[in-house]
Order: sequence, then C-alpha cells, then structure tokens
Amino acid sequence: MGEVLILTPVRPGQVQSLRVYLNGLPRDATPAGPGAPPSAVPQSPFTGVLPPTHFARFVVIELDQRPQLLFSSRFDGTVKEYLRALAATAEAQVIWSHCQVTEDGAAPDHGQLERHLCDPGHQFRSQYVVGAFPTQLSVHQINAALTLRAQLSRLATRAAGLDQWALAHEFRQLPAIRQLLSR
Amino acid sequence: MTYRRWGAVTTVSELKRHQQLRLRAVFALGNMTTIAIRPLLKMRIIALARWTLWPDDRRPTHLLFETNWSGSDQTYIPDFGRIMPIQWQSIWGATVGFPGAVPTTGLVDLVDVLDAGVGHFWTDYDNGATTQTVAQALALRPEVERFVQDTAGASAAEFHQRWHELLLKVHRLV
Repeated sequence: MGEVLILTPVRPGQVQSLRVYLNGLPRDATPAGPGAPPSAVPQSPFTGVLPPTHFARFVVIELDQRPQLLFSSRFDGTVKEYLRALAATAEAQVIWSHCQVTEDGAAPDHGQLERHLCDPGHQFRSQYVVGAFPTQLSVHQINAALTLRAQLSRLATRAAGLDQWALAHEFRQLPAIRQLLSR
Repeated sequence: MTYRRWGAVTTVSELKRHQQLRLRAVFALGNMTTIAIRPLLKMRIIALARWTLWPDDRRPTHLLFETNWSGSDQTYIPDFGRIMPIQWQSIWGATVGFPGAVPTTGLVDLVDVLDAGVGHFWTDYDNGATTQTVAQALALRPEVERFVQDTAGASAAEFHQRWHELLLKVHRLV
C-alpha cells in the first residue's frame, strides 16, 4: 500500500478559483436517499483512472499564513506509478495550474507536473498513521469482501423460504461464492 | 463534512515551542503498538487518521491532522475525545489553543475552527461501504471460505444443517 502527502504553494490570487474548481469536481456525494441507485452517486474523475485509491483528498490549507494545496492519498501500488497516473489527468493539470510548480508560475504541462509530484522534496512523510484495515489488503480485496457480505446477507434474508436443495443451489450460484469455488 | 458515507476533517495546528521531542516520542510509541488506540479501532468508526509534522520532524512548527470516518459528524470528535482523553492530550496538548479533550464541547469548537474540510475527496471502496461494513466483511470472509470448504460435496440436508450453524456464528457480521 502506498501513501503520499504533497504540499504545493498556491500562487497569489489563485486560492478562491482553486477552491471553486475543487468543489466543482464531480465528487463522491452522499446518495440522495437510502434507496438511491448507484448511478445517482457521481464518481470522482480520478476513480478508475488512477490505481485503486483507499482514501484521497485535495484541500487548500493555510500554513504560516501561506496558502498551500495539500494532496494526500493512500492507494494500491507504488508512489511513482500513482503520481505518474495522477499527473497525466487533465484535472490534476488544472488543479496544479493554480500552484507554484514552474519557476515562472506558468501552468505546468504533463511532464513538469510529473517531475514536481515525483520529486521527494515535495513529499512529506507522516509521522503517525492509524488505519482501521490491514495495510496489506488492496481496494479490490476489500470490495470483494463487501460484495460477498452483501450477497450472503441477501441470501440469508430469503433462506427461510427455500427448501434445502434450493438453498444449497442458490448459495453455490452466488457470484462471490462461484469466484471462491473457482480458485 | 461528509462525502458519501465518509466524514473528512483536515486541521492545521500551530505547535507550542519545544514540543518536537514529546511528539516524536508519542508517535514512536504509537508506531510500536496499537494498544493505546484499540478502544478507538473497536468503535469501528474511524477509517484513517494521519499526523504530519511540518515542515519536518526536526524543527516542526505545525501539526497537520487528516482523518476519515463513517458515522455521525456530530459524535465522531466527542466520542474520540471521551474514549481516549489521554491520547488526545498527549498529541494535541503540544498545540496552541488546545482546551483539553474533556469536556468535549471545547474540543468540538476547536476542531470546527481549525477544520479546512476537503476540497475534493474520493475513495474507490464500493458505494455504501462504511468502516463497520468493511470490518464485518473482512471478518466474514474467512468464515465463508471455511464453510465452502467444509460443505464441498455435502448432501442438501447436511448443507442445510451447516448453513444454520454458519448463520448462528456470523449473524452479527451480515
């Protein structure tokens, strides 16, 4: 599991427009209601584009009265692979165009942003990290466990109405169980 | 702020002078053992918390704190403060303006003032996932794997019997 925290100074006069841009990105909003379909939940533009992400955030903070863009993420894969994928996204290039990445303050291109993000001098090491889930588990493994739980819960709800043959059959037909059996 | 079912807080706190040794010791201890945070993890609310000294751990002037959790915005910080007052004190006691972990009203007010929230947050966990459902799913999986192994080739009657045994064992996880 990779972990990264990057701070970049925001260019003078760019704080508000950076905040507006970040807030305007499609986000993992709370569903409209408990029964809202998954399609009603807009996805982050980084989902499915970067290596799987456990948790990530962009936020503008004030450090020593200077605005800084904080980007932090916990993800699967290596730091370099992750940051290279991030730098290649159009959204990341817009986000960091508000920051002091190049010497003349111009918006960075893909290569400049990649060099900036991958420069260890811009990365900060966290002294203490507490996570609820084992660090060796990938997002895929966590989602597979969630899928298994959801399918088993649904079967448990209707199991009382099934005879013993139907129950055994339906259990073995659950996609998550078939996946377990095929290993 | 809450995104999908995940809450997110980002704070920046100014450090009191000469606190680096104390914080380094607290963090070193925290990295060696989870004993001090077990009550927090048992709540199955917090998903991630990260403390970073800025600009570095030799001469830090500020403490960055980021956390994600699932559950009520109103109770997360008060619960955190109530359950682990010594741990809060040991870290945030090094910061300017910390009113103490309890009573938690002062703590909540401080976090409200310091919290920069997030501009953009995402997670690739399935929609609807929470700390509790992930923990339950991870505990359930080996039980089901064992069940699948044990019932391979079982008759329908035997499967039915074992199914009920499984449900009794894992009913708190589904």
